[in-house]
Amino acid sequence: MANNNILEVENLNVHFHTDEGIVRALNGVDFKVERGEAVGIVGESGCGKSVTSTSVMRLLPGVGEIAAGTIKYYDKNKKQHDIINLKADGEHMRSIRGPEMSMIFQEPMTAFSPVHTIGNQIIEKLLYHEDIDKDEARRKALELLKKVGISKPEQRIDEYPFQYSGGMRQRAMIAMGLACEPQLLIADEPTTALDVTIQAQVLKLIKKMQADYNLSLILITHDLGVIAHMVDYVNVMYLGRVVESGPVEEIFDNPAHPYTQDLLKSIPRMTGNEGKLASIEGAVPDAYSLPKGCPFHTRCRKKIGEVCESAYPERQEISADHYVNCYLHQDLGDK
Amino acid sequence: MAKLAENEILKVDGLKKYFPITQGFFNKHVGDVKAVNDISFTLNKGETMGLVGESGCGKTTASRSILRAIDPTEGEVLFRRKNGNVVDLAELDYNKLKDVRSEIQMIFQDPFSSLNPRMSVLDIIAEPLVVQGWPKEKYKARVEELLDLVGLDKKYMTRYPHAFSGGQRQRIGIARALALEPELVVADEPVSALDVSVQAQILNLLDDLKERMNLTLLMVAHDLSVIRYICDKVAVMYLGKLVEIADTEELYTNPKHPYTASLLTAVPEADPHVEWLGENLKGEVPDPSAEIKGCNFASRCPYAKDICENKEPELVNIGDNHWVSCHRKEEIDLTGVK
Repeated sequence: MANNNILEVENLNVHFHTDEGIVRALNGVDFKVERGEAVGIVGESGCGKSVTSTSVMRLLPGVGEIAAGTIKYYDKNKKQHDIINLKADGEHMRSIRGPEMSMIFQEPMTAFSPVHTIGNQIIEKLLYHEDIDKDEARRKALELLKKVGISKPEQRIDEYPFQYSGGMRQRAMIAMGLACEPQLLIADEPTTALDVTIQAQVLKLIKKMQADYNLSLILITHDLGVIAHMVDYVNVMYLGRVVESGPVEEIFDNPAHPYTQDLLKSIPRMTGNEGKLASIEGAVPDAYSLPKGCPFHTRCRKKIGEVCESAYPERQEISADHYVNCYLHQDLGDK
Repeated sequence: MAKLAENEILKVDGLKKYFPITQGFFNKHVGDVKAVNDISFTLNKGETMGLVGESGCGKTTASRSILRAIDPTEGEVLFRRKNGNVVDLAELDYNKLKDVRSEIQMIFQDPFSSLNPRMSVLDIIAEPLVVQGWPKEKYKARVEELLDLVGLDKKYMTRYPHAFSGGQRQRIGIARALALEPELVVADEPVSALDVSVQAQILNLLDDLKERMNLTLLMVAHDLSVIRYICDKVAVMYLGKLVEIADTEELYTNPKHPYTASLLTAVPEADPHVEWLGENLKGEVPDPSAEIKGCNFASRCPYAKDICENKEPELVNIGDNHWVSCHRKEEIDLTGVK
């Protein structure tokens, strides 16, 4: 079998049923992760990047419903699991969540339980998934904490999350994510709450762990700087869709979607900017009433005309592995 | 009273803000959190200065002490008023302060919590005008003018904040701050709550207003690329102290303090071809209530020597208004950004 993918997501649609109506958080998300690859998902708030990751983990809140699509996961033995058809809290999904795929959350203060020690929370995970006794689990937890660079792990293992600083909590979070040696690690804005010098430490740690454990990584962030240096392949999301995807250098050197182009021009650079920043006019439309056609047409400065409002543009491969959904790159013929 | 030079509008001298730590039934005073520990700088008319540092370094406390939102523990804050008089904001009494406050305004970080949800846009922007006794007939026209200035349609005037996006709310906050044509505007993380595409709109607006109104702006931020885009000079703060002050270009290309250099190289640039040096700092920021004998950065500094742990360095001018507080500033070779 030539398929070297660990995760394949196709046409994923997720709806949230709220009192105000249905929020169409995802409207057909496609992406894949190759084994050992680091894939980034980038976009502004509300674009559905976190919903994508929680759907893959089947951790959507009660009001969220996977309306359509497929999520296929290939485990250590390349056996295929159809994630969508599993019961979210069933035995099968629980055997995948943890030993196979694992997640690092944005806010480690709320992701950890405040009333249990860091050590006990890691040990709990190990005891649930692995056939080992308490002493062995504690020894493993200690080893993990040491591995992620927590100083004095023998003492720290018995401390509570509030006794850890922000950067250390995120390290402990990574240690917990790596317990049971997963194949796929999903990091959802892992450094957004951290200061730049601590962010650099944590990002370097994630990179090192990815190499040491031969992990596949999905990194979700709004920060294009982090994306540029952490991943091999980038998916740019806008309003519940992947509008452009490609190898990291392609995306930064030859962005094809007007949204990606403007996004790249709107960030202030450390090296200084030439002239004014380009800004994208207006704001992201309301997710209750999505614009028809291409969701970006309301803000796009390269809008062609009615065609952009008619239907969502098809995915087009414009160079090797570089895809874009935009009419600018399609032969419109007599339309 | 100390003097201000002709073109100076603000001079902060030896500003300190300690928060006491108390313990026990009698609230015995057992120590202080030295949030701002002896900072000094001057700001010229029409200049934009960035105050940058990591969370907990005291940058917000410093900005709040300067405009007397909180009372500083010690120090002088000299401010030149519109009429040319120089006052010390740190020691003014309440009544006089109210008068001066019309000339100093603030832009807040969170556009969601800084606007009263029960007030219309008109009322929000007119609030400072009302406080300063403007009659109702006059202020409506002024509010229209201000909305135009920040790029909002005046037909939105009767709406309430919930009807606006984050970027639009920040525009309302800016209009409110500019209502009285202040001499000095303090902006505390004005764009950090916004998405990049919207952040660019607000940065361009601030840049534009700065030119048009000859604003003097003190901008507190943690994002170094934002600071570079908008500020003329930058002060870097670490654990309650200023460690380096210089013109923006000079600071970014030729940093002299190891902390500044670490901050600059820690930020990943949004370009995969630019090498990311990443982190060279060990550990994390020490507790701000601890007694530190020497340089407060010594515990994390890759260049620290004996002297750094025993003697506190002074902030000195090394030429061209570049101020550094480091014992080893002449010996070490640091890289900035190109």
